[in-house]
Amino acid sequence: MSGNLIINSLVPPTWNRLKVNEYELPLPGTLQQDTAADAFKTAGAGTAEGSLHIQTGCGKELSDALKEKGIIPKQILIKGPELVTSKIDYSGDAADVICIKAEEGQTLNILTDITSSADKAAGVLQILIEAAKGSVVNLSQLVRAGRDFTFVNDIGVVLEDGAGFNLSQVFAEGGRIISGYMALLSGEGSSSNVHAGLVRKASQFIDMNYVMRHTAPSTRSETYVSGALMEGGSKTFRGTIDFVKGCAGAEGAENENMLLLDDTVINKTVPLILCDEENVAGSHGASIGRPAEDMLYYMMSRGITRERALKILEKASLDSAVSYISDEKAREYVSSAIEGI
Amino acid sequence: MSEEKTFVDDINRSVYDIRDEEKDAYRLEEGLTEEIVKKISEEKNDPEWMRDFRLECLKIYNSLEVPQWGPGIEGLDMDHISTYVRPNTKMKNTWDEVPEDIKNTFERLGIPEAERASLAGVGAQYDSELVYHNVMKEVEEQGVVYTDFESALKGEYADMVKEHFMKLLVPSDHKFNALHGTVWSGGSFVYVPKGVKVSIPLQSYFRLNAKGAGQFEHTLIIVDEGADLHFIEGCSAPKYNVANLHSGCVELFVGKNARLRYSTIENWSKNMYNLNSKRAIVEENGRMEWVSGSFGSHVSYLYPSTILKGDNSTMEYTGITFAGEGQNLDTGMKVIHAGKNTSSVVNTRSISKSGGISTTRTSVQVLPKAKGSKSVVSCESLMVDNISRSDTIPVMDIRCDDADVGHEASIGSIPDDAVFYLMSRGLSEADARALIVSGFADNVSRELPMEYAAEMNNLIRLEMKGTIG
Repeated sequence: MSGNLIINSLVPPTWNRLKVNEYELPLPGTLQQDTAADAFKTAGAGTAEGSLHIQTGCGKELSDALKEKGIIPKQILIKGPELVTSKIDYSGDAADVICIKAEEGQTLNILTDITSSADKAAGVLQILIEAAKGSVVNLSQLVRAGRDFTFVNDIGVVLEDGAGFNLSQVFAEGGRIISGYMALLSGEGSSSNVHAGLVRKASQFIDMNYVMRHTAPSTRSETYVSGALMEGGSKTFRGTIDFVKGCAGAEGAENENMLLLDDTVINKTVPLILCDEENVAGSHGASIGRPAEDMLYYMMSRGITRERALKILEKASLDSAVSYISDEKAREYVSSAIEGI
Repeated sequence: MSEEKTFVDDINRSVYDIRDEEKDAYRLEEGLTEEIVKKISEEKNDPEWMRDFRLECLKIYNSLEVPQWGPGIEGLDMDHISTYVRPNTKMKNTWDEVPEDIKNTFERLGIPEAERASLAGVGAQYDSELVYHNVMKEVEEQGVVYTDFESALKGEYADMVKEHFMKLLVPSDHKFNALHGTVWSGGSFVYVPKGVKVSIPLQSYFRLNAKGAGQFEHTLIIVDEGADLHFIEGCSAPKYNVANLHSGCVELFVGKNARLRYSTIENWSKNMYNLNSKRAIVEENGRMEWVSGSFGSHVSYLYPSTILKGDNSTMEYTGITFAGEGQNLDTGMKVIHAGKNTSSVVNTRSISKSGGISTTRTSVQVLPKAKGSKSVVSCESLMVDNISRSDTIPVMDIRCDDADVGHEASIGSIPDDAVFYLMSRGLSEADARALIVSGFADNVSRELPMEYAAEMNNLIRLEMKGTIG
């Protein structure tokens, strides 16, 4: 497995010349495992062997590659609503497959804090979640890895009747981030809420592929991405709301707000709505550009320099996602961690 | 209700489904070989450069793959398509001289009547060649050139044609541009000189009558500095039980301070593969306006594209796609903002019913030097029933901080309360739904001349009949 993997594929694809149909990932030859599993253990969660067969945003090629490299899925056992904070530090090339089951009616609060003590390395974290009837899983993620570090963050969630999954992601640092997310809304009335905030600068990039697949009636998905790009930073966001036949009454919404702070940046936005069902409502909205001059003017009229004002707006892109973290401790943790950014 | 549906469909469809017997027409054998291409070139008495160009395009065609990202076109077998069918007549400039059966077809389609009422010039193509071309004397006196493509290729404007032909739509872009370059035939050339404003629209109408044939007309329009033109394109074909192919190319050059509006109502028959390419380049302060209605064809790939090259140039695209039973229509638009302070406004609507598949595919690119550019894209889709499909696939690629790009898309069904309200006012459910759909398509109909808006609304009414009950 030394060839490149094709991941984060757009389904269905579009014009090849736009180079948004997929991401090509050079996966390292050898990967150590249990970096993430050990971090969960340290945080007080139990672990056991056990796997879930769940589709993820990065896709099958990554899942197959991890299997081929002998990465053994670990089930993380979390008892209750108390926050489990998993501090995952990558000291070399590593990969983990983490499986989490939320039992009926259970609420789980999980925070993963990703850092890297090795710079020129890659970490792959695949999180597979099964949310039983009426359960709620709140997953918050903070990524602040090194500038030469490649982090692959791949999530797959299956939601039963009335289950909810709330994902808050703060992509603060990390040279190359590839993030996949797939929510299978297979239970009636289930919901997925994603709030992602990102800052990309100094030639950092992020490639995102988020799929909200509605297969059951009255399901809801909301995806909100805010971010700031500067100094050669780049971002590709693919967001797909997929209304599959049988999901009558489903609603899906995507919204993106990107600030472009200089002309060295590349922002690609690919918001798909696929509809195979009549009685649904899907919407997408995007606003991409420089900060409004009147807003900057207002801030400057209050004694804030233009440079400082831009910095505040940059930080606000992350704060927006932080504000949606429902667990207070998790929110404070992330907020404090990005204070200096 | 079902009787009414049959009645309405039969009567009105027959307007488009008139089939003329293919008597005395010259038809090349099916398939695509070097010999066939040489024969087309010989038939058309091409200049040498064009003959060479065709043969080069054939090589490119053979080297390129069919696109993998769009609707399947497995049903299209080039070995069973005749790429050149010439009616047994020369191009005429009065309708009386056009052979009776062909004239009757265009009469039923309303072309001569439209010419008398509201057009400054008309070109009518039948299969691979134009059979009629005429332009108002007053427009000619303004210096406007509107002629069939073959005449332009050899006449006074030959150098201008050579300079622009397939320079915007280059053959290597994709397989069907290369196909077009190989076998193109017919089409129109328009040149509007500096400062000339053509107050009445020109129209080209393309009719493909021959079974199992392809139509590959080329339209080249050059609107010089400060000039203004509205060009209308119409097309239709009778339905056959074998595949037909339309692979036209439209190249539009909009000069400094010029404006061009290009309106299309496409109503190909539902056995047609419509793999059409259209591209415009706009100079400083120029303006390009697209009005596009896609109703027919079995499969469509259609994405009019615009390069906003000049500073302050603008583009507006207004489009509607209606995909009914057996149709897979992949339509949309592309725009590249290259100049400073350029702007684009895009408003698309799509309707899917009776198992039809509609895909709206768009791309907005803002290049690093396009400072101060703005783009607003709105895509709305309507699902009329639960056996149809509607997808929206937009891409925004923004590489300039001083840009303002907005995009919104929505998808939904016909609201029950609106249907109920109209029924409470005495409309039948079918009429209520048709009215709501017509209103949904209002973005396009209000941009068209009245006669064409009426035709479009009639098409929508036809398509909507029988969607319930």
